[in-house]
Parts: sequence; C-alpha cells; structure tokens
Amino acid sequence: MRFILVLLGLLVSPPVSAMDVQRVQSPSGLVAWFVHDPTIPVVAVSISLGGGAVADPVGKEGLAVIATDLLTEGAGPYDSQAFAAKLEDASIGLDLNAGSDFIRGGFRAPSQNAAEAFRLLGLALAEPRFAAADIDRVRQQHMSGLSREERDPRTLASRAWYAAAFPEHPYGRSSKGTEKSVAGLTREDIVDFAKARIARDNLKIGVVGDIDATTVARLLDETFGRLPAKATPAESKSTPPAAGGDVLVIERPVPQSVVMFGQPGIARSDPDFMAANLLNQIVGGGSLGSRLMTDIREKRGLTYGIYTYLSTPKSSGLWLGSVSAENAKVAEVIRLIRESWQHLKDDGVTAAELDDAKRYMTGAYARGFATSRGIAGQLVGWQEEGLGIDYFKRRNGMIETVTLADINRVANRLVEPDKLMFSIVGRPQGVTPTRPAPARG
Amino acid sequence: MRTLRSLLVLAAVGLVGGASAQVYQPETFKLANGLEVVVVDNPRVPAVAVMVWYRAGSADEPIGKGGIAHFLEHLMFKGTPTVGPGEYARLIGREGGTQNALTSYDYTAYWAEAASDRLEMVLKLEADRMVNLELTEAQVTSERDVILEERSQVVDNRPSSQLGEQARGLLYQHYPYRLPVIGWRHEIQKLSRDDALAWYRRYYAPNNAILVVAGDVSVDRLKPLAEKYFGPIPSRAMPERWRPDEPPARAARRLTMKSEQVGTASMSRTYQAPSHRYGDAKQPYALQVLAELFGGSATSRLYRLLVVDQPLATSAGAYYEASTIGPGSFGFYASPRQGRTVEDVEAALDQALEKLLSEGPTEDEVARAKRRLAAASAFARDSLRGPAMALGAALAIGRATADVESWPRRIEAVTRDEVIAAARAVLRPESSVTSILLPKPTS
Repeated sequence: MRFILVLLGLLVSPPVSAMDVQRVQSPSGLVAWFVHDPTIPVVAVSISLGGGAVADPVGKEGLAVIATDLLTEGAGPYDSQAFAAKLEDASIGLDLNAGSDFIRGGFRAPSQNAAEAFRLLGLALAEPRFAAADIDRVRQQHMSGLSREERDPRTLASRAWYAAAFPEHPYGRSSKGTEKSVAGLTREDIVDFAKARIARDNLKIGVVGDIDATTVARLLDETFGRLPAKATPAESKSTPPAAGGDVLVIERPVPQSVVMFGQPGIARSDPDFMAANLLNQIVGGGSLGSRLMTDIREKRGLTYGIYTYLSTPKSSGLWLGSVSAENAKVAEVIRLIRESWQHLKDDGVTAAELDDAKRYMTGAYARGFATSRGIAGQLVGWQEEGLGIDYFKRRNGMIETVTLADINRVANRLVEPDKLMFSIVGRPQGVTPTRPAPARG
Repeated sequence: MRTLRSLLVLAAVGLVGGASAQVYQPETFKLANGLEVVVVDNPRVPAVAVMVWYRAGSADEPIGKGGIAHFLEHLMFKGTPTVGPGEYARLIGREGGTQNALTSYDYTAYWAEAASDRLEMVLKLEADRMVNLELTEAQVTSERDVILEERSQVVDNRPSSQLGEQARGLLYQHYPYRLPVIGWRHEIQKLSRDDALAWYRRYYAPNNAILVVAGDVSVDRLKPLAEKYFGPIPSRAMPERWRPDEPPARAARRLTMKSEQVGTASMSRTYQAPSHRYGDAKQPYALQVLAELFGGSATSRLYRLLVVDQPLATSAGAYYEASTIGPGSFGFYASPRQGRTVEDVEAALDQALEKLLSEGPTEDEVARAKRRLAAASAFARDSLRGPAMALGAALAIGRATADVESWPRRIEAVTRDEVIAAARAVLRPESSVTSILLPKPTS
C-alpha cells in the first residue's frame, strides 16, 4: 500500500514541485517570492500585512476592516472616482481586505499594465487620502452590511459561537464591529491605523506571471520602498477556545435552523497538524463523501450539507463545522454529530479511510495552483506561516508519511465530544439551551 | 461538496467571456452518435476540468413536475450497476479530484476536476452514468428530503430569495422561466422515482449532450478516449425543444415584501430583454455595454449618482443576463443609506433613467465600457473550469463556439446609437417588475 501511495505522489506531484519559486530581493532589501509564468499575459500579486482586526482597540471594533477598505477609495493625486477609473481603464482588479490576523490583498492585471497596477497598489498603501466623504460612504456601507448580517442566521450562529468561545480575546468580537463602534470611528483613528500597520517589516509579497525577476525587483522598491520601516507590533495572546459542550440557541422565525458547531482544534505549527487535517477530511471534509455527509445527508436526508474544517488563526486552533436542518429535525442532527464524534474518539478511522483521505489531499494539491491569484496567495500564505520556500515540494510527503497509528493517536488526543459547542439560530424543536447566547462582542 | 449544485443563475457568463482576437480558443469535434465535444487545451496546471452538459433544464419540465431536472441532477450521484451509491464522489476524490453539478433553466451540467492523468477514469464514470443510472425507492425518498432542505436553505430561510422567486413569476407571464429551478415545495414533495427515470430516459443521451474538457488536454488525446467511452452509447430520438413566446407586456408590476429577517431596505427593477437566443440577436452586445456603463462598476453612472454624489444609497448597480434560450433580463438594484428611503432611491433611479433614455450615454462612457469589457478577455484562460463553464453554457443554449469567440469583436463594434436604441427598446416601464424589500419591526 505504501508503495502505491508513493507512486501516486510521484504521478501527481512533479509538475507542481517542478514549479520554480524564486526569492527576489530588491536593491533596498524588500523580498518577494516569485513564480515566472509566461503562459498567459497576466501578472498577479498578493500581499499580506501582519495584524488585522485583533489589533482594534476596545470600542473601536471595525477599524481595521473599514480603514483597509478606504485604502482603495482614493490615494495620491486621485480622488475615489479617479482611482477607480485608473483601475478600470487598465483592467486591474485590485483589492485589500482586513481579516482577524492579517490584512491581505493584491491585484491581477494584464501584463502590459503590471507596472501601473504596482503603482496604484503603492499609492493605496503609502498615500491613502481618507477624504471625509469617502469615510462617510464606506462607513454607511458597513452599517448597512451590519444591519443585514444581524438578521442573517449564518452570521448570527457564527458570532454567538465565537463570542462564547473567546470571551476575553479579540477573536470573540466581530471584526466588522457594531453599529455603535463603527459610528464612533474618526478620521484620526483611521490615519493612525494605517501608520501603525502598513510598514516594510510587516509585509509579505508574492508575485506570479508574465514578468521577469529584474522588473519585479525594481517594482518592489518603487511600490513599497517608501513605506515606513517598522510597524507597531500587533501581538495577540495565544488562547484556546473556551468550548465546553454548551448549546446556545438564538430564536429567529425561520423554517430551518442554522447550526455552527466546534471544539478546540490544533495550531498550524503543531507536528500533528497534517494528521489532524486528514482526520477532518475523513469526518467532514468537502469532497470525499465524508462520514458526516454520508450519515446525515446521504442515508437520512436530514440536511443539504454538513461540513467541518480546521481553522488556524494565528493565536488559536479551532475545529469547526456547519449544518442546516428543518427546525423539527435539527435535534436529531445534533445527536448524530455527537455520536459520530464519540465513535471517532473511541474507534478512530480505518486504513481505507486514511488511504482515501491521503489520496484526495495529495492529489488535490495541484488544483490550488490553477489561477495566478491562487498561486500568489499560496506564496504569501507560506511566508505568513513560516513554512519555507520549498514547502510545496515537501507538503505531500508530510501527508503521505502519516500512519494509521499516528492518525488514531491524534484522533484520541484531539477529539473531545464533551467539548463540542453548538450555536443554533432558528426555532429548533427538542433542543434545550445550556446557557443564554452571549451578547455580541 | 455539492452545495453549489443547482440554481446556478449564470448571471456572469455573458460577461466572463472575452480575448482580443479569441477568447477561450476551443477546438470541437462530434461523435457519430451525436455527442458534441469541445476541447480547451490550456496546460498551465497538470489538471483537467471535465463537464457534461445536457440540453434539459427546468424550463423543459412538464407542468406539475417542477423541479424534476434538479431532482435528477441529485439522483445522478446514486450509482450504476458497476459504481455503487456514493462511489462516484469517492472514486473522484481518491484521485484528488472534486466534482459537483448544477441545474439551470436551460441545462443541467456535471463537472469534475482531476489531475490530467486521471482523465480516462472521469470520462468512464461520466459515460457510465449517462446511460446506466440505477435508483431505489429509498434513495429517491431520502434525496427528496435533501432537496427540501436545500430549498429551505437557499429560498425559504432568505427573504431576498423568496421575493426574487415571486418577482420572476411576474417578469415572465408565460415563459417557463417564471417558475423556480428547484421547484415549489408542494410539487417537490410529490416527485417520484418514475418521474425521475422518465426525465432521465427522455433527455440523457449523447445526441442531447455536450462534453467539454478544459486544461491539460489535447484533441489527439481526448478523441480516442471519448470514442471509447461515449462512442458506444446509442443516440435516442429527442423531443423537439419547444418553448412558448412571451405575450406583450402591458403593465408595470410591483411587489413589496416585509420581513423581520430583513435588516436594510432594498429595491430592484427588472425588465424582460432580448437574449443571445431570443429577440434581436444584435441587442445583447449593446445591452452588455449599457449595463457596464450605467451600473457595472464604481465609476458607472448609477453608482456615482446614487452612492457617491448625492449620496442616497449604499449600493447601486445594473446587470444583464443574456445566456438563455428564452427572454433575458436587464435590471437595476439599490439599497438606501440610513436616513433615506427606498422611495428616495427609486426617484433618483427614475431620474437617471429618464436622462439616459432621452440623451443617451456619452461617447466617452461607451468607449470606456467597451474597453473594460473587452479587456476582461485577458483573464479568460486564467482558470481551469471557467472556459468549460462558459463554452458549455453557450452550446447548451444553442450558440456556436465561434459566436462565443467573436465576443470581443462584437463588443468592439457596438455604437452609441445602438446602445441608445437598445436602452429605449428594453427599458420600458410596462415591461418592468419592481421589487421592494423592507424590514418589519419584530413583533
């Protein structure tokens, strides 16, 4: 069996591992990871800046998200409309978005407009205007979004879960803030945010496409060279989720209950991460006809879909899942999830399940490299996570060497049926909440 | 993994297209049994996207069997004499592949992505289920429950989807696009194994299908494999694909819905419009330019006027759907900002429309919109499945690949006068449906 797996790895991997990732350094010392791909006339860039919404001061939730949106609403000599027109006229898709731990973004441009795309990205980062009218507009758009999300069952379930799991940590707050916190943000807050976060020592860059390394090196300096040298550190304390088996219910008049569930997961840097990843694939991963999908959808028709995933924010580790089911049936779904979790802890997985999961994960890896932006995003992700420039060559091997004993040891270590916490939005029948849902952070 | 299946309204297909001289650069051939084959040789990654399209969608359903096209799409994963229930997904997954399917008004399509050296296995599985599907009563019963859950998830739990469903019933007075792809709940509940098999036997045959393979593949490699697996499947007599014509629209229609589940008010207005296969065949290109310049971006007229200049709204835009056999649709949407009402926004939209219709767009607006649309073609091949989606959808509604490939030239040829004429022909109050979605205070 081992022989066959290794052979498969060889069959699927070579073209990806043959990809040449170069480390390009600019005259001033800026570094980008770079893949030269002249097959289509496109250049894609991804960037990441450490520190996102976790660094929002208490009472100023939403700052990172709104300030980051404003970076592309007018910069340098261009007001908001002129900046948008520059992008549109050169067919540049440029975006910057703040998440919990990182600000991420980049562009995709026809290669003849790559220099212009770099220039506009540089302006957005170094010379955002933050004009009053633009702040007002973006704030209003966010308030409108918040008001929509406050009634969206999926968002409500997720927010309640995180608020309960992280009562003392910024992960327990919504990165988008509240109507109150967003209303209170000032231009000064936004300017300070940009100063604190956008700096050269905080920046990771990935470049892919129809452009040469010398040009990339030159454009790195032109684009990012004038950014301040150092960012204000934005560390957040490493905190496991406080998932203790609670059931939270948020009553809403909808026919179908929307459920988020989860328990403590595993840190990205944990040596057992790949085994945990395979375990998740078997239980509730997307493509294989997972255990939960088979039991709950295929056999019983109780849901349209049930999925689980490992979430590895910088300062925690979570194992999360989502499912929706008619209000009258959701209690049975929850019972089946708990049973499945217990079964996993007690009996682990089979050799055949492990084999399928390994084959899926190793074989699927190449498809993550199907688009220019996809590749650029991977280059930045490896830098964020400290995985090394040759990670893509080693990654499938790390999966293939996980043994049945390894994964079952990890199942026993990781799976905690008593800690599974459920957050349910709807009118679930036969479900008793163990505590009130926390007020939104 | 099948969450995305179904209800895919390919709003963007008409716009994703695009390349200077060519777009996707497909090659085509046809098997003796009538199966059309399209190849997009794009070896950027060692993977292929395989799609099988059937020219059968919800608009082909008999009255009273609403949702059967989508129901069968789900049941196509239940197995054959040689591939057990659930095995299809497992076999593709074991090869590192992923798969799903979608149903729309005019077609049903199945797709898988896998390493290119697994092409043969995928083709074998697709050919097998084109002709050998097996279904038990128990499978049909539990899958029907899955579809009812899907309906709850995508429609009944979402006020905006509910209103959209109601609005389509008014936009099309006679054409079957008035009915939801997934079907009405009470009709789904009555769909049977016999209904599903009747649909399968009627429409699933090589002469009613299109095989599209995109990625690391060539015609030389695909042709013998297609012959080997699909070649032996006999063709079948196909019913004529008859569709009714819409009667003239004579009265503007209007719907208002209030829900506790709505946080922010919004409005949309939709007009029946020509499509690539219905009505004036030249107008779709002018209408694409119109949608782009009027509401396709942050510098478009509508966004500038409603969101930036006045400002009354937090969002505003326009869209145009042309990839249909029957009438297409052209629409606007907007959402008022705090302190403003839907009426304020609608009045501003009306004013902007009046100006557009009386004066037309400027030459500069037309030129910029055309340039932006055409430039999108640079990205047409920066995707594995994108080309297969766009070409398959086009062929499934009876367009030719050459028609898709000519898209940049057709856009380039659009004149300001054509945009004005198309706008005046389509944006008539009497053919419009205005939908208003309002918050309702919690009782």
